Amino acid sequence: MSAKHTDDLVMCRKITGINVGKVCAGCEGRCCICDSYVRSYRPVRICDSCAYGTKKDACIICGNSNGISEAYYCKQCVMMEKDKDGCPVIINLGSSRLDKIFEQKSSKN
Amino acid sequence: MSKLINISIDKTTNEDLSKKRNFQDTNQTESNEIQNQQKKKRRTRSRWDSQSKISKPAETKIKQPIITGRTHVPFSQPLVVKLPNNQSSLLGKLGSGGLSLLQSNSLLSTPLQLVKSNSNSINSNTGIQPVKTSLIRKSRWEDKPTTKMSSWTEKEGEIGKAGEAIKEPKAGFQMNWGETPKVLNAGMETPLVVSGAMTPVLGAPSSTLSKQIRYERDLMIRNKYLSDEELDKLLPKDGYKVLEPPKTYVPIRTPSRKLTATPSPMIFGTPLYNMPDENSNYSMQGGDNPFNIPQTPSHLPSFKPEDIHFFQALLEDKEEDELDEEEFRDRMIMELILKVKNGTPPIRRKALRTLTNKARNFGAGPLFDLILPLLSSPSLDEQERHLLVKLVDRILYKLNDLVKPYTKKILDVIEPLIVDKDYYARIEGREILSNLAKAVGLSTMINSMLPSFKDENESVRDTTAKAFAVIANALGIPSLLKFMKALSISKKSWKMRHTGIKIVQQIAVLMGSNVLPHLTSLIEIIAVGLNDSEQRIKIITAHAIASLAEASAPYGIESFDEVLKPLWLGIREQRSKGLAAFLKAIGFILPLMEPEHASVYSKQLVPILIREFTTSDDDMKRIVLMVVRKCVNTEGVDPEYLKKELIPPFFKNFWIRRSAIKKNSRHLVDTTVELGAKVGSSIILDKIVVHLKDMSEIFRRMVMQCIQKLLSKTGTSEIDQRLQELLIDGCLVAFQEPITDDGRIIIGGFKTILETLGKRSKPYLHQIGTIISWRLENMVPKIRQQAVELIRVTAPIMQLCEERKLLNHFGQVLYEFLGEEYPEVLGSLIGALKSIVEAVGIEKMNPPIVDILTRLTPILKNRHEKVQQNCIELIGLIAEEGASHVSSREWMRICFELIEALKAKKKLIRKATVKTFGSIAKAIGPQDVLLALLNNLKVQDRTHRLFTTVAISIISQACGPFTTLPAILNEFKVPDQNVKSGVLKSLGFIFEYIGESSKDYIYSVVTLLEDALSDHHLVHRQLACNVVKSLATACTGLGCEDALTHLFNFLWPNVFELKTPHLINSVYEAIEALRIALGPYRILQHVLQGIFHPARKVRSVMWKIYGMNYFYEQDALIPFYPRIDDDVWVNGRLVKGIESQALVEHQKGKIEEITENSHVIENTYVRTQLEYLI
Repeated sequence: MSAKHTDDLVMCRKITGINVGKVCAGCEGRCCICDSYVRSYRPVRICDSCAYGTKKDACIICGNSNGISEAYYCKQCVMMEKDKDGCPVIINLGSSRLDKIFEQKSSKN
Repeated sequence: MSKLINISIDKTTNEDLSKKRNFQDTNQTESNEIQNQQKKKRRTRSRWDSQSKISKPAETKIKQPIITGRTHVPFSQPLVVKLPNNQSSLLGKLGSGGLSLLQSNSLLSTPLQLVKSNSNSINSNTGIQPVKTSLIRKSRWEDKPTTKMSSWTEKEGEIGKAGEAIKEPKAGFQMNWGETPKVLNAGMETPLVVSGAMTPVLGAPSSTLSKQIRYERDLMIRNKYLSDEELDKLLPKDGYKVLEPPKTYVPIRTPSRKLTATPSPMIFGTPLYNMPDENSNYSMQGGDNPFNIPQTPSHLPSFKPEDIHFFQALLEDKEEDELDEEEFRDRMIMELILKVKNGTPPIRRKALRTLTNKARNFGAGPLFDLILPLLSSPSLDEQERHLLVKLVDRILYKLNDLVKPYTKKILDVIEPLIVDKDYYARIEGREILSNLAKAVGLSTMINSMLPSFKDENESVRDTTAKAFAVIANALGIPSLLKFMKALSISKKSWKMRHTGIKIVQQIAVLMGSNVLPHLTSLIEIIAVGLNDSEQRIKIITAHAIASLAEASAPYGIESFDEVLKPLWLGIREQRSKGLAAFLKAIGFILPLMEPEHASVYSKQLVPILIREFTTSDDDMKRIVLMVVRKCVNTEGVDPEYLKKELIPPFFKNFWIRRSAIKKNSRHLVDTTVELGAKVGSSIILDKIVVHLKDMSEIFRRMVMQCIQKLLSKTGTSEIDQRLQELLIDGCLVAFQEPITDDGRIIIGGFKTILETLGKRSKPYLHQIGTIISWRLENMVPKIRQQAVELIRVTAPIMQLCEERKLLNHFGQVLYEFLGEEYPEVLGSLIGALKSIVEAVGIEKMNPPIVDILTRLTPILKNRHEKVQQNCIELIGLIAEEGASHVSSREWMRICFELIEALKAKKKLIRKATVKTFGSIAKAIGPQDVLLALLNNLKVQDRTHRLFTTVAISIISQACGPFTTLPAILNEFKVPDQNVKSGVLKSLGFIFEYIGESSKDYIYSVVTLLEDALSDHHLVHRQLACNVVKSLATACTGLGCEDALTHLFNFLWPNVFELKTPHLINSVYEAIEALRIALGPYRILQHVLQGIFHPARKVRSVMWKIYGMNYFYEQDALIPFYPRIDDDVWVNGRLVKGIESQALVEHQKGKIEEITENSHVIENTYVRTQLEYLI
């Protein structure tokens, strides 16, 4: 789920550096702001603290540790200057996702 | 042998029963058969004598006692046989089923040791003493005992008290935190701590255990022996006769075998056993509610029997008037908590919202007094705990600093989350802890945690350090530096210092490269630890330095200057764990150093590392492997030296079968790959390739993993013919040996080897092909699947090596195998076929592509995800590249099947489906496909509709909107909300997909959008806003401003629709897009109309939009700010702007006279009023 559809996801929003964010196979082709699959336009620059350490290859949208390709903003978001709002890496899990995870766990048990 | 004597417990009086329950209860041993045996021996003898009237010695039939207690175990009241020599002993029970259950049930095999030790201390007067459990620390419970230890000798009056304790659990909640926790589980001897203790009481069952207990209890109730009464109910009285047991019947009398049985998890008595209450509505007597589920009022969800203590009050049927204000409030909170914990999602959501909104009204005290004990309840399962933690988080946010008095209590229940084994629980714990820290501030947090810093228990200190690191992350390291400094030089106890240094380590682990700005100060804090007299401090300091170095790599070497020397010296002095820590620290500092320094250190480190290769300590092995990797990576180390000195002992000690089952295997693989990159892959491969034929599968897998990583890093240019053959041979052996996992590693490794060999793999392909063909015929589906998977990965390589014949052969074989019945195999098979089609090309495919497609159409009906996905992907490929080979009628048939696939749960399938729709529509024209899809907009399932709209949009994009738009617009006439919103959604996607071409279609949709933007339904307006947004961004600068302005006029009134956040977000987004298309001026004009409106609702919206406008278009707005006309006429001359202001001030006497300099600024863009407001 992207930030567009889950309102309690928090973006990092620090000043971006030169590093380009990664996305996992599931999120490939998605705009990290509006979830659009078309018209990828500009690579997503992320901040230094998100680009180093254990999370350096994590998917910037869903947090999956296996980021494989570069993340992009779509044309619309670039036109509306959403690419200038700071680092868009999602830094929390969001309650709906946690709810889902724990629900699955309890039903598995 | 004398006759069997029935102990007809079911016939005893109630008084007897209650005594008995008390007896069993206080001794916590009713599930222990052996112990019961001892009890019975004494009891039955004495009671029989005094109450002989209730026994029926003459009766010879065997009866099962009726079970009345809630958690009563039927086996706990065994049959007693009176033997001629006046010895009574346990004989066991009649019936093989019961006996086998007895043997198998771990519940019954409670360790005899415990019983034995107790039986040694049998009181001569009472017969049995209460079981004392040594697991609760004496001092803690002796300080202030709140529950009297009852023994079975106590009078019946005591029972009443215990019963009351169950009814009034509130007493347990209202305790003070400093007090010894009261017992909630009144039926138990060993009190369960409600909360307040750092660690839950030993022996208290975890959620899994309590589940197991409940499960076993349920099983017992289901499997219990039938009593006479029940038998009478089941069978007619006449015509049946109670038979005597055969004379030869000898029950199994081997209690000793129970000694060897696995101990029961309920070793510590019977946790969660409750005094059965005769009058309570949750008693299982009577069989109305045999599984103890408490009967809650109808508006509340039910709860587990274990939670009865927390929610007892809700079971009491009281009117609102009977409750005082506090009781009423508590009851209300309790109801809401129960709804959050056990309710269905909508109920839960509502209750959560109510609790959050009313948190301040309820107050922190009542809320936390109810939530926190529940949170530390051991019977809580993961989901319930998550929900309650979420609740605490929300309440925290609302109460803010009001939670200060409860910081310690909250910490006590949250801290265990931080060290939970579950990743998500840890994340949740961290989040809530940082929120708590932000709410109550640093000093409160430190005060609450202070005692834990020097706790005796290492795990408590560890948890505290981790928690403190989270706080440091939340509040910023600088604010904590002084405190950590003080901790690390504390002279009070070494534990304090240990915790202080551990905090630094945890900060490094948690914050990663964010520690860089504070690196020097953090190292200063911990550096003293290297010279500490306590060995443990030295070790933790070295670990902390290693973590800091790892976090800050590759920067910050200058900060480590002061610790390098003591570390280096330490390596020579330390042994075992100390040496491991110091090695790790140096090893992690190496990558930070300049190459020349690093090589010096590495050269000296390597002999020490080689020496430690032989260690048996796993931690040491792991660290050695990590440090070897770091050393090998440094530039100055000579490969020849490594080849000569390091590699032989390395392979001798590490590449052994045992390494594969250890956790270190990952490190071993990584280190070997690094080593291979340094000294050349052929040397490494030469050493490990033989292990591909090892008998251990795990080891083979590890070897394959290593080869795969190494080859993808270094390539195969170094590999000679002999090694190639060895590799392929090894791979084939590994492939043919049994593979227990999904085979991904072996097949993936095989693929990498063939890929890196490229054309050089041609000689081996036939051999591989033969093996695959052979295994395709195998009866075991898994082997067939692996063979098919191997075809899938080798097809591109066969094409590369121009083995067309082989490919065609496999194409034909796979086509013939399409009737495969195992879906997993079939899925892989279609995947392999797709791979062959991709490699060979549609045109040259043999069998012809039409034949394949005809066989695939019926497979589309298969609902297995893997089959469906691969099938749709292959059809998509054919539709894209070779649609002309197939008749349009066949494609339409496929389309109808594909519409069903839009319902699939897996997103990948839905995505593949919509893409295939596009390709098919391109091939056969959009009309028919579109019609089918538009009809599909009527369905109820939202996801199904959503993907139908996506498919419509993709078709429009593929065939051009002019072919589809008329039909789509026409569909808007259908008076069905779902269809209308589907049309709007499709339009949104279409304009998003086609981009600039939208300008050709904007005028044709304007009237539709007018209608939708002023529709009664909010969803329509929301979707229309999305269309406007797509149109506006697409048509920017293309001369469509007139249409956009028109749409803007319809859009604008929606800014006041504050009911749904979805709509308001869409409206704002559309306004933002229109700002791009029409310029900020047009938005400003609208905003200015309401920016000073007397109504707050109007003003606030306008200011929000003004803010959005200003945020993005600050500079562009300057020319458009209005001129404020406060000009006045003075002496026949018009005085403007600031000049007039000067005049006013002159009139007030502030300025003596108006000169030319009184208004130096030419007042062109006066915005005094705006600025004042901003």
